Amino acid sequence: MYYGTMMSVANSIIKDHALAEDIVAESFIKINRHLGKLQDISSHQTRGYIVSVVRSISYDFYNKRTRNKEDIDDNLELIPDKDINILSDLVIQDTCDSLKEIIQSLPEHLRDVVYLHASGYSHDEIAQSLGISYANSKKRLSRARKMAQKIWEGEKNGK
Amino acid sequence: MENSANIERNKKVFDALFNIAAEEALKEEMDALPSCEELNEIYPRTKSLDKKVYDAINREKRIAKRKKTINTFTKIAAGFCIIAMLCMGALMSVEASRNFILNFLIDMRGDYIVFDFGVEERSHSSVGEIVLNYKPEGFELINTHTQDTLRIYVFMDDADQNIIIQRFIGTNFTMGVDYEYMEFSEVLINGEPAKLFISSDGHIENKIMWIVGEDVITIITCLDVVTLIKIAENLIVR
Repeated sequence: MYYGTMMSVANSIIKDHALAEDIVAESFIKINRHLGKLQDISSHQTRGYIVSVVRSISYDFYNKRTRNKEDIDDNLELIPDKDINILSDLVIQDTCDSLKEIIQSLPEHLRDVVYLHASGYSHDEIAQSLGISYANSKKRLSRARKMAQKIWEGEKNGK
Repeated sequence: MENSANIERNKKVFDALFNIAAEEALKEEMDALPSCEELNEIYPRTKSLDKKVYDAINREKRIAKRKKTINTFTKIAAGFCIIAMLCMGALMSVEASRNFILNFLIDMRGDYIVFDFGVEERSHSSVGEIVLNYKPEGFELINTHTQDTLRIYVFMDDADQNIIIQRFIGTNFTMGVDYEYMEFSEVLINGEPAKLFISSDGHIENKIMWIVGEDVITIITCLDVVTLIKIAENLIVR
């Protein structure tokens, strides 16, 4: 069912049909390990999970090809914790929409972790699926949240 | 306190909204993709892709099977090692305990007993012979041997049973007697105290030793104790 989706995602990153097939084959192995977690095969959570896995493996292949050894987790900007003031002057729907757009603009490697976590996957499962460590999975989610918070507060103050 | 409670509450609300926003963002992004059917038409299944998928799955199965086999063997080997060590420990402890007890008993009893017969020296130039006034039927003197202060007389019968009489000239010596499997007692031979060693398993010869005049006499024989004592009591030493 998702052959086309997986090929599309892989091809969009790697731009090589044969390599894209290799990526899809590898993705099957990873997805197979968490088949029990996929309850509704046609839901957007399942499609999102599959897309995240393929994307992660595609970027690994891409980085190996371009010999890019930079660890993206090392370059994540350190964002200090800040107080959040929501309930005093907030329309919840507005906030939700803003956050949605902010999340969609986050870098893909952070976005994938956010999506998978929101879909109910544990950090262990996210780490195994994306080929990262448990610590990196938690780090990415934390930084995604802080980045979203920083951007959202910046937008709020700008209004 | 109230401020920190507010901060905590705000954080939880933000996290909850963040998760909701994440779910909605995921749904939007997936909806923005072409449908699965459209993508399946653009990227149809190919034999090469199917083969790669099957190869990947089979490779994964082989790796998993190998890991499982290694794990099983490791567990079995570890189990054997533990059992072997426990058995060795048990055996060694039993063996060690047995040896300890045996050694303790041996130390208590001693391997042999030492007799000190005194300090009298005597020239053997004036020593005569011994005479057996009582000789069991069939026994004849077959050999005598002299060595320094020791004279040995060997009597034997047709059935190869023997009586060995040792005459130690003078009493200036000590003698160690291995009395394992023997019972030791003291008897009187012609009024003189004698040391009697009786075999407890029937495989070792009986022995008696006592002082006669200025010499030490021992009689060693496979014959019974009664006969041994009778020989001793009827022994004349010249």
